[in-house]
Amino acid sequence: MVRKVLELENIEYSHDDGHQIFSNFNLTINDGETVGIVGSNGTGKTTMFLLSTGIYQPKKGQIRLLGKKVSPRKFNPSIGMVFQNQDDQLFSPSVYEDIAFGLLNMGFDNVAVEKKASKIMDRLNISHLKNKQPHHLSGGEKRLVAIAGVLVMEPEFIIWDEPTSNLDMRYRRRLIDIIKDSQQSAMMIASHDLEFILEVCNRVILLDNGQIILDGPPKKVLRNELVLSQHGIEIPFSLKQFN
Amino acid sequence: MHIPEGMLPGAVCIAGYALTSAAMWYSLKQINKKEDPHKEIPKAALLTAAFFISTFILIPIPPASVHPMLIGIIGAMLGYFAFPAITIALFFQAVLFQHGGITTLGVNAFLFGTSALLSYYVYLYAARIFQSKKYQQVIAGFLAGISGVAVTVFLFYLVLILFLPTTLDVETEKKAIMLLSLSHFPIMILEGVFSASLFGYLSKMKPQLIEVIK
Amino acid sequence: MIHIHSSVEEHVHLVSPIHQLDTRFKLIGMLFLIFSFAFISKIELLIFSIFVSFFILTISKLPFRFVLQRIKLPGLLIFMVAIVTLFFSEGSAVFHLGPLSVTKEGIHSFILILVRFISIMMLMVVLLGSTSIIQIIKAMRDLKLPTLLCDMIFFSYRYIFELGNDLKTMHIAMNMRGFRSKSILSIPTFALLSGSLLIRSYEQSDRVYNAMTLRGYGQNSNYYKQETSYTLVDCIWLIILILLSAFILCIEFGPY
Repeated sequence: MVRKVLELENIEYSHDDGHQIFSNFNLTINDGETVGIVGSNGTGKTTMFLLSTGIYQPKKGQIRLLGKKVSPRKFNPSIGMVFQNQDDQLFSPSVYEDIAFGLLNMGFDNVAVEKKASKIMDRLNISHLKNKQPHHLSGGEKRLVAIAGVLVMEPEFIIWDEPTSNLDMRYRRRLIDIIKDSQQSAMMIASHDLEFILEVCNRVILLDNGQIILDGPPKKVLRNELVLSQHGIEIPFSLKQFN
Repeated sequence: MHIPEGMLPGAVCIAGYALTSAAMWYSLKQINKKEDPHKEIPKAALLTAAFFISTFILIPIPPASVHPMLIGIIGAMLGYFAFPAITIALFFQAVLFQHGGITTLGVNAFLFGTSALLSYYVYLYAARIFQSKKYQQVIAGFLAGISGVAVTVFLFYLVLILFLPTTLDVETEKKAIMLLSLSHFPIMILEGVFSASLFGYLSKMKPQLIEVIK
Repeated sequence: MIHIHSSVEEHVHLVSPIHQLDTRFKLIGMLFLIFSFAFISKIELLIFSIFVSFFILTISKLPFRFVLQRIKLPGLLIFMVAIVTLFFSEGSAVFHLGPLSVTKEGIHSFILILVRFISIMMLMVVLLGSTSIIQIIKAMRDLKLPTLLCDMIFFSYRYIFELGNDLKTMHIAMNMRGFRSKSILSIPTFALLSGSLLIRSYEQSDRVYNAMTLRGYGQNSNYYKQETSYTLVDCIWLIILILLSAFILCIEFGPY
């Protein structure tokens, strides 16, 4: 019996201005899945992420993470999220302090924090940035620091919101390697970069207007030119040859 | 408006700090009564920064240039958070630019902060009166903006009259201060118009930024 | 506005007894001294205070030019106030300058305001010039300032720079589209621009807050428990500064 990592059951949610995003929405993510979420802007991806983390609360329905009900805004290091804009995520005076932030809140003492932070910085090759101010780094460096801050907490489930946006080729490749190397139980990745999705995901969902249009293996979903184009998506170039 | 370092006698500075601490304690108490006080910190910090930056902004309104005061707006938008917000902004102004002294921080904070809280009450009261009217926010904003400037000027006028070097010829001093205060009258109107427009805009685009009255 | 940051913190990395002093002790000690200066009205104490300030400035190794630069602007303001008291104080006239008369009380007031200001400011610049803002905020947190305030200070500090940058960009954009402020009628435009800037910043602050919550902000006070140790030297400095303050207050309010 495969363990369910994330369960969204009969979710109903609308924004403060009354605009309904989700109505009777269901999604289950299982152990071992790296799920790619594709869809044009404004289809509810980020909202779904924020619901999964407990930042937003659904009007109706249940959200469970690793079998336990998700409490509103309660700190749960089992789930981590890398935000779309890394400036939203970095706020400490130095890179080291930013990475240490989550660990300190988890209750680790200074020695353990130092050890874990050093380890993740080595792994992501950002040790040389340790004492720099996050806001003075390049886009790619900032992204890596933001990722470090999340990975260091060793969450079981990670959400990535547009992780490759604004990254140059080198950093994009590093990101792909990091994702492929991760030990997480499951991941959910939103991206417009369909080649990236093809490379790292083993399940793809097409989302539009708060509904799941397609759900299946990457090569199958992303080759469905007809349906994809109906929802504003172009199929990845590498698959065009095969159609 | 900020009273610079060394202008006030030591006892007044200490009294200022005592009053600010008391008002701060009271404001924090009110804030902690909310269900999630931490949630409003980003908004408060944003307006703290706005107040800090307002010292650098000079809006050319021919024939002169004006400096936005923002006290009324901050009071109306933050409620009790306005007191710590303004105190912190003044702290940064004193520390980063020596604009306003540290010895006089207590007095400055109490004057500006109290003025902001009073503007908040004016705003609440006005909003309640015009409850279901279409221009509720615009009018309440206008009144808050005006009261922000008016109360601030009045309080500073009071402090300067009472505590400036006592050797000064009282009549001249009084006249000078009154003149300075009256020159703020046009600023009062400008600030009122600015607040009214701002609140009108925000109430349509992002009501969460304003403490909207049900 | 990043230049604010760099110019204020230009000399925080120097090596001096003042720089090495534990920030908490430095804050308390210096503030005690600064406040005691604020009470001074006797000329002898004024002279003493200037010497003390100069002494502390010297051992802090901060460049004199730096101190001068920071005192310039507020100094100008105070000078104007001092001039007013010089010419408009009541009392027995010492000499006349045209229609204006200078009294003994006026001279006393003039010297008092100016020298007091300079003594206080020198200490202030030493305090702020030898400590980074982050150190100050941390020290306040360690000194048990309410966490809500510490958080607000921390967030505000960040937003000061962001908002400053946004404002600059907006100003440039406005000018490029030919906006010129002509009269009171341009106020609604300013309100619109401020409003949109506020909304954008608010939405971003919301996202930052969400990101922080997800990493445990607000849930655990562990983050605030980082105590640092202090030395005997720190204690000695604190005692010296407090004794100096006490001495000044005793002389000021004593029967001498």
